Amino acid sequence: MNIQKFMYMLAKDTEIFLRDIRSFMLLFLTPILIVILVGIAFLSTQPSHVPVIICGESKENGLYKDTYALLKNSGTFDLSEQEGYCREIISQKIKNSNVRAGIIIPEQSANATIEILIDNTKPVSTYIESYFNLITKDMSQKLMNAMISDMWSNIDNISEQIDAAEDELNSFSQTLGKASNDLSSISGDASVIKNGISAIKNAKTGIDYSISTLQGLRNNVASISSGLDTVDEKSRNIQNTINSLNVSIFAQSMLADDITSIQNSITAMRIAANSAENGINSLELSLKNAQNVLENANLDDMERRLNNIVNSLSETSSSIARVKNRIDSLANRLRAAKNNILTASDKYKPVYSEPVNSKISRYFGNKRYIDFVFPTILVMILMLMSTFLSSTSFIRQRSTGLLKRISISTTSFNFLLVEKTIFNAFISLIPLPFILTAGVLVLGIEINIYNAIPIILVCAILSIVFVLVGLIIASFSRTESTAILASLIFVVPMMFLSGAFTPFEAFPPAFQVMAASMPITISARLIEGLTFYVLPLDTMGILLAFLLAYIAITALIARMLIKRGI
Amino acid sequence: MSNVTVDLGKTRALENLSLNVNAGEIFGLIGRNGSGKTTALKVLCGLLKPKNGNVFLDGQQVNTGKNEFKKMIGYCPQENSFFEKLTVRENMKYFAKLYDVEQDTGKLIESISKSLCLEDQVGVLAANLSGGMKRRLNIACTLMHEPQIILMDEPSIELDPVSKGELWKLIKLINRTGTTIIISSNNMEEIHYLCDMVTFLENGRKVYEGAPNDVLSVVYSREFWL
Repeated sequence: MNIQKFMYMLAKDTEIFLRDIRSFMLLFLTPILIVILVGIAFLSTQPSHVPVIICGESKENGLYKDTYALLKNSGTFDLSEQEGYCREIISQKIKNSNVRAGIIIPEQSANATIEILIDNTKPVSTYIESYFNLITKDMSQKLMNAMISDMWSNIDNISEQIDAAEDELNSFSQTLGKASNDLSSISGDASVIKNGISAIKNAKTGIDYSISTLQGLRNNVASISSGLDTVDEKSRNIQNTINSLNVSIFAQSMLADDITSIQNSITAMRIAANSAENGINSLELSLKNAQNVLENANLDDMERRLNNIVNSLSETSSSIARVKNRIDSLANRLRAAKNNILTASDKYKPVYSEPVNSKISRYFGNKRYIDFVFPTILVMILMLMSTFLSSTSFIRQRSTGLLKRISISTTSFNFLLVEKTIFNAFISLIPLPFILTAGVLVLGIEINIYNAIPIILVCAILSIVFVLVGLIIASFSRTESTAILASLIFVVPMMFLSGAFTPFEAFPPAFQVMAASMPITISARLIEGLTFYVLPLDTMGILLAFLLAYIAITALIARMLIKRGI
Repeated sequence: MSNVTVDLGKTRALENLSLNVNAGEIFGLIGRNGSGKTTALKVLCGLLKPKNGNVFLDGQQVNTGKNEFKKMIGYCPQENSFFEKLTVRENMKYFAKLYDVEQDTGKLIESISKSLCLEDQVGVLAANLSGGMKRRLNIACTLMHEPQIILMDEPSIELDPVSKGELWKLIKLINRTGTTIIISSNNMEEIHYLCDMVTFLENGRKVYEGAPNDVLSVVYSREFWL
């Protein structure tokens, strides 16, 4: 390629363009004005002065006051109030585009439904809808929190009551245990008594036997007494005999002493026998008395009753043991229930006792929406300028026959295509430093000497793509009007699909892919990556490769179509 | 031009057209609008590739896109095809650059502008020239690479009678330097004044060929149209 010739043609084309003072002025003014106007429009994404009407049966209603305060303090809405139910008024005002939404507050706060009418034909409706959803959720959340707080308080009370019930049950269980022990003791005592009764019964038998034995004893004593009488009589007889006998006085005296001693003994024995008899009688009497007492005591009935008592005690003790077991089991269940409550409380109380909070961190610090939309505005301007300039200038030169003359000259077609492309891209890029300066000075965009150069480079690549697109459009457009209208088919969808006005995520999936692959989107991403955050090199490489691929494709198409269209 | 057939879309613009132009003559192509005159010129200068047939210059095929043949041919379209925002000199220099003219363009501009009576206008913006001067500049741009053959498409169209006369004289002047000129026109007076040989085209076909007087007498004859 003849560089000198190329530079000469480039310089002359530029000179020709710049000699048209109106084009020259517009070349500078248009993009700068667009950047400033659109940029200022995008400085804030927060809607303000949204006209909203609010009404309710009672302005003293807590819900009305809360809603009014929330809306008023948001700084977004211009609120106007109406008395009573105002649906008709809201409808009329929405229809006349006087308000964007109307809120009707019900009289009752409990189970309240706030009626909200939104003008869904306006873009701000999405914001209003989200805002109202948020505030109604906020109010519901407050109610919910109060309810949850009350619930936790009740749960704490229940826990305490379970503690008290458990203590009561434990105490009752202990009492029952003691009662059971007492019953066992009573039962033991009853057994002792029963044994006593058996012993008494045995004693009674002994008494009976003793009485009969005493009877024999009495007979024996009577027999002894009778024997003593006989002995006494015999001793008297012996006395008399002795007395009758002539025996020495000494012998008589000795025998008389013996007989007297015997008689004394007999007397003593008689006294003893009498005494024994009296004792026996007395004992018999006592025994008989005892026998009578024992008979009167009805020991068998006593024993039977005692047996009944023992049996009843045994049954009662079993029942008490069963009740105690049940009480112990109940106490265990209550303990388990309390533990479950405590576990649930420990686990969920921190979650439910406080509303769900979100901590929003601004990842890009103090960056504003305009910082991110500026690259898109920039590439949009370049797209418009590159496409329109190249298509219209090409058609102008073709209509004057200049292109024909150039194409039959020794200047090759490829040379011509490259020169026209570079020229138009260069012209499109002339205002770029001024646009960037306006961005820095007016919109406060952070562009410095380090990122400005790569930004200009990306813009240059993008300009080439759209210059070629413009040439393609010009190749099948007969007039400049056709070219401008045809350019709109390319540039307008790209503008709206660029994500500057509507988020990509709002598009259908196929459009999202298409929007993400558009050269304007790729360039905007690259500039964002160069300006506000660091895109990974591989991603940057892929995006650049996409742009270069666009250049290759558009250049091929342009070459094919333009050659035919000259 | 030998047996050239050109289709423009579904329309047959030229059909087996053969033309024989002698060196140094002014050759005229006449016919009604749409008869194929401009198409024939486009084929001659290489703007259109014929479906059939070839173009030869001194026995060599010229429609091959080679620069040596491109330099031999100059095309002067019926529109004023130059840059309105450049001066006469700048336009002439631009066209010299287009054809990679190696000689001193300053002298060439001086010489051509003088011969075309443009020497007083060389510093004037093309947009500010009169119609006749613009047509001269159009021709001057064609002459910048000193072609052996000049193709002129309706050269005097939209010119006033005085300017037409001056232009015709100029064409004659150029022709006298030995340059072969092929003119397409539907102006019989122009053809009669300028041309040595004339071909009458009708619907892309050669209807008649001969000296201008002969052709004109035939074309104006009742029999021709019946």
